[in-house]
Formats: sequence, C-alpha cells, structure tokens
Amino acid sequence: MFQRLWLASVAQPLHPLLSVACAAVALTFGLLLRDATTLLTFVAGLGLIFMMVGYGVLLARIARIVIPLAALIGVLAALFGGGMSGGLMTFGRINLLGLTTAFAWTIDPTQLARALRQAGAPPLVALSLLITVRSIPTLVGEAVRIRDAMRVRGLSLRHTPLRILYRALVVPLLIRVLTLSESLALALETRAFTGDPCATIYRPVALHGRDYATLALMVILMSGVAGTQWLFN
Amino acid sequence: MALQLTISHLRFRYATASEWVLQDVSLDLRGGEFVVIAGTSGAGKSTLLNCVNGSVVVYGEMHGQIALNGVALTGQPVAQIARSISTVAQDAEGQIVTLRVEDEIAFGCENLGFTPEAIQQRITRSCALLDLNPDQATSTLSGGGQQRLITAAALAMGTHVILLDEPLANLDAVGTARLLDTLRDLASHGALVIVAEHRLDVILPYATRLIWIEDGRVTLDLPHDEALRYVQRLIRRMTVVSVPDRQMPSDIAIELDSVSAGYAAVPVLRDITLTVRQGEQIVVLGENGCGKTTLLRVIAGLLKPQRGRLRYGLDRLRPLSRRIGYVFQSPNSQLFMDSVRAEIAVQAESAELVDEVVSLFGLASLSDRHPQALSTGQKRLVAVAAMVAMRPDVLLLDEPSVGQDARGVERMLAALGALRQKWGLTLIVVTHDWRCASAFGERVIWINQGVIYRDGDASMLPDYFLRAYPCRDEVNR
Repeated sequence: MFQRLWLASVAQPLHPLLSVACAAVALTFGLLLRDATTLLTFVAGLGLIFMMVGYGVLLARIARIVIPLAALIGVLAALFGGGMSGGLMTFGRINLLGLTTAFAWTIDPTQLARALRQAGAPPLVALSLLITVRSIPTLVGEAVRIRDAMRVRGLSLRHTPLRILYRALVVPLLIRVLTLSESLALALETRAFTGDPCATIYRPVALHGRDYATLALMVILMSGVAGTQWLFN
Repeated sequence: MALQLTISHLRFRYATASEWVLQDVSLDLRGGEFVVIAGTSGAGKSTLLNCVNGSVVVYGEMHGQIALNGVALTGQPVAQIARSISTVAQDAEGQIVTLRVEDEIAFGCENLGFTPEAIQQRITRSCALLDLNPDQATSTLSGGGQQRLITAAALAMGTHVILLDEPLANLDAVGTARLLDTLRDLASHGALVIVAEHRLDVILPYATRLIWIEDGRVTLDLPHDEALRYVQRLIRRMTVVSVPDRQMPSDIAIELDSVSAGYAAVPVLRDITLTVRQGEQIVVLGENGCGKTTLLRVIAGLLKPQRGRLRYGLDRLRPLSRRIGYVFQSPNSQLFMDSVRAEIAVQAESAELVDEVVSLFGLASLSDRHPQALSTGQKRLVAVAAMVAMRPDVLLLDEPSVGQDARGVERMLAALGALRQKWGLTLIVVTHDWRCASAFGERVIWINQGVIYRDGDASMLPDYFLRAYPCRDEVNR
C-alpha cells in the first residue's frame, strides 16, 4: 500500500538498478561521514537532487514523517550523552536512512525484474522477486479468510481449546501455501517458462537522460562533500 | 493439415493411490471442435486434461499415448508441450505470477519469444476480448477478474489447442457469455477447445461435442444436439429434487435499514434496505464485484456497516456465530480438523445432530477421510454440513455449487430442504449457477453496482440469466 502511494507520487521513477545503486551508495557514504555539518549538508544535497529529478512530492511526504521523528531521537541522543554534535549526527543519519529507504521503495518490482534480466541475471532470480511480492497480498488475504472462518465457526482465543485453535490457524494456511506453490509451478510450466535467458523482454527498461543526470549530480555531490571533509580535516 | 489430438488407451494412477483414475481412455479430437468434458466429481476430468498438458505425469504412473498431429506428446516436458497446448487450470489466484494485468498476459508470450510489438498486440486483443484493464494491479482483481486474466494469458499464447479446467467457476453471467463466445469463435477458426465443466446447461449450447467420464472411462461421446437432449434430462431431474415449499412464518430474521458497507473509503453496498423473514429462501444475483459477498459478510457480522442499521430478530441468547452460519466461496479456510466427522462435530450443537447431518449429506463413507484431501465439491459439502451442525437459524452460502457435479448439488439441495422443513432454516444463497438459482430462488434479489436493482420471485430468474446467455433457450426448449 505504502509502495503504491509512493510510486503514485513519482511520475517517472528512475531506472530501478540505478535507484538501488544510488540508495545503497548514498547510505554507505553518509554513514561514513563523521562530521555533523558535512552529514547535514550531504542530506540536504541529496534532498535537492531528489527534487530536481521529480521526487519532490515524495520528498515532502517523507519529510513530514521522518524530520519530526529524527528531531525527537536527535534531541534524546543529545540529552543522553551525545551532546549537540551527537544529536545532530543522529538527526542527520535518521533523515539519510528515511531518504534512501524511500528512494529504494519507489522501485517498481516488475521494472526491477526486467532490469535484472537485461543485466544478465538468471530469469529465475527475477521471477522469484516478482513471485515473492505477488504472494504477499495472497497470503494476507488467506490470513483474513482464516480469521473470518474462525469467527463464523465461533472459535475464539479465549474459549477454544488450544488443540483446535492451532489447527484452525495453521492447517488452512499451510494448505494454502502448498496449493499456491503447486499452482505457481503449474502456471510457470504451462506458460512455457524454462528459464531460457533468451526469452523476450516485453518493455525493456532503458536508461534515460534523467538517470544520467542523477548519476552525475550524485557523483558531484559526493565528490564535493568528500573533498570538503578532506580539506577541513 | 487439420489439427488432430489423439489419445490412445490412456491409463493413469497417482503414486499415492492403488486405483486407476483414468482407465483405457481413447479419444480422437479435431481442430474446430469445442469439446466439453463432464462427469461426476473425481471422475478424472482434470486428470485427463493434465495428462494432455503433461503436468500430472510426475505424480504417478501413465500408460498409453497422446499425440498432436501424429507427434507424441508423452514424455515431453510440460514447458515444451505448452508451446502447442495452452492450459487454464483451477485456482486462478494461485496461477497469477506478476503484479500487473499486462505483464501477466505478456509472461507466456515472452517465454515463447514473441517480439514486444507482437506481445503488445496480443495484450490489447486479449484485454478487449475478456474485458480487462491492462494497467490494473493483479492484486486488486476480483475472483472473476482473476479467472478472466489467466484465461486471457493462455489465449494470448496463440496455441491451437486450449485446455480449460472449470473456467466458469467464478464468472458471472456476462463474463461467462463473453468467454464462451470467445472460445466458440476460436473453435470456428480451427482451434481445438477442450473444457472440463460442470455447468452443462450454460456451456453446451456453445459446444460441439460432449464427452462424459465416469470412474475414469468415457461413457458417453455425444454431438451437440444429442448432448443438449441429455442435459435437458439432467435439468428435469434437478427440478424434481428442488427444495420443497414451506409455509413462510412472518417473524423477521434479519433487517437491513439503509445499510452502506465497503472496504476502506470505497463503498461497495449503498443504501441497502432489506427484510429477511425466518424460513425464507433467497437467491442473490449480480455481476462480479456488485456487492453480493459484501452483503453476506455484513449479515454474518464480519463487516461493519459504514452507515445504516442492521438488526437481527433471532434468538438473541445464542452467540451470533451460532445463529448465522456462513460457508465461504472457497471452503479451504473453513476446514481444519483431521477427519470429516471431527470437522462436523467440532462446534456441533449435539452428537445426535452430527449423526443426522452426516447421514443427510451422504458423508458416511467419507467420515474418516481428511477434509483437505477431498475433491472441491466434496469439501464444499463438508463445509456446509459442518456449518449446519451448529444449527444456525440462517445459513449464508456463497457459490455453493462451484466444483460440484449434478449429484453433489442434488444431495446438498435435498439435505438443506429437509432441514428447512424441520427447523425453518433461512437460506441466503449467492450464486452464478442456474441450477442452484432455480432450486433455491423462492425470492430473488438482483444487486447491481451495490444497490438492490430488483427484489422479486423466481420469475425474475430467466430475465437475469437469459440476458447474458442468448443460447440458453436451446437447452430449455
């Protein structure tokens, strides 16, 4: 649900593999910074790049949740031994984490699976990713059905013996997981899936100008921040 | 060369069973045919289809030959066979692999190596044929939508042989007519369409041939006209066993006053006002997603109305779950004990009632079987029996005939009829099945886009069913 919300706020998401790479590199780079001012400058710069590449609405949504949370934890960190510098570092790192996690969350799993296949990953890896994401609503739906089934049979946590309660909870879920895997295996085979890396990719994912621009801006930002830190140390 | 699928002396048994599911089945099927495979539950219909597509071979022992245009399919990998034979199996939800409708349809085409342009064309055509939105998320599709999607995905692969296992199970009248028209059109253009289906009155007007399987053998092989006459006889038999009339008491069982209900901020039911009297027998009709199941969930107390008032006029001393029984569309989540008898007994009102229910529903021979090991139709019968053993005043049934053969439906109708006579059981049944609707429909409620469109008696049934099945009068003539 959150992912749909975030995806909807970004008109044209970046190339999925670039998104993963940017999120991972930015997080690692940010966590290595040891000076609060430099870290906050980096986070602000990252936010600016987000806005420049069309993630402004998403940024505003994240900021509403992450900034107050980071401020609260930062104040607590400052009060309990970290001092002003420690508090600001905590504030900056939580913002960085929120920013990069949300960045990664905007990736459409279908696009990521396609990009992985184009990058030469085995088709089964890309498909496993899709199936995992696809199974979540199915299993959540089953859990809701089991809860409803227990209610209509009058089974409650308080009044039902444990030996019946566990069966009512576990057996249908287990059966569903097994039938689901059987149905999926059948669906893959009857739709001619062999893991052939030469299978066509409908709508291949391409790198666009915006992706190159993001990459360039990230490199400039990180070089600038790293250079500044080196100069002042 | 005309398409030809030959099945010669086919025998199959599962590794875990000693009995042969299929015994010496021989068939000669040609392109241009629309073949319906019917028979009792567990007769071997699905196994036959799965032998043709090769998916069942690893689960047991198979003898005989299956050949397409003289080329043996036996021994070929399933994915290889899928290049010439596409399959729509049961459990639509479980077969969806991807997250968006267009990607699901594209998946098979990608594996067959079609160009992106060709895939795009096939997506557009399949979506138009089966009324699907290519951009829709697969997780938001209704049961009928999921069924249409996996059918569209199979059709898009463009093979000349198409196998479908109970494709009408979750489809409403309009969806059914659309699918059957499409299949008939494919057959008329030379494809071989093979459908395993229980709802013969719906499908036979479209079919060119009926093959009846009983205990793993082909017992009937009839052309279109003879098949229709055969189904007429079945329908007449159904009428004989329909639930007997009963003097209707006037006490109110359930009252909905301007009820609106839905999920999150989206209202599914709008302003529903409905009074159900004790002992009434009501059929609820409507297209997929119109709010039929939501209505049952509201009545069962599983979904709180967003607006309006819901009142029960039943014995208030008993908990709601005892007063209102509800059998879901898929009974799997309602079966959890290790034997049929234990399942029926677990919340039963009395041991005597358990014996009576087991006998009424004809489940004595299955008493010691594990409920999850039964066929879909048998599972449904057990789920209904378990609910009835709680002695509810009102029983809500969501698609009770799915997966049931004519005999199973007859048995359920007869049992429920007897209980209705005995303790005035009120029945509210959601169904897309003409057999069920005509047997249960003393009062008929037609829901359209979340509101009650019509509320009347059984005379409304032809209006509902005939509007979508222009061929049905062929069966009824």
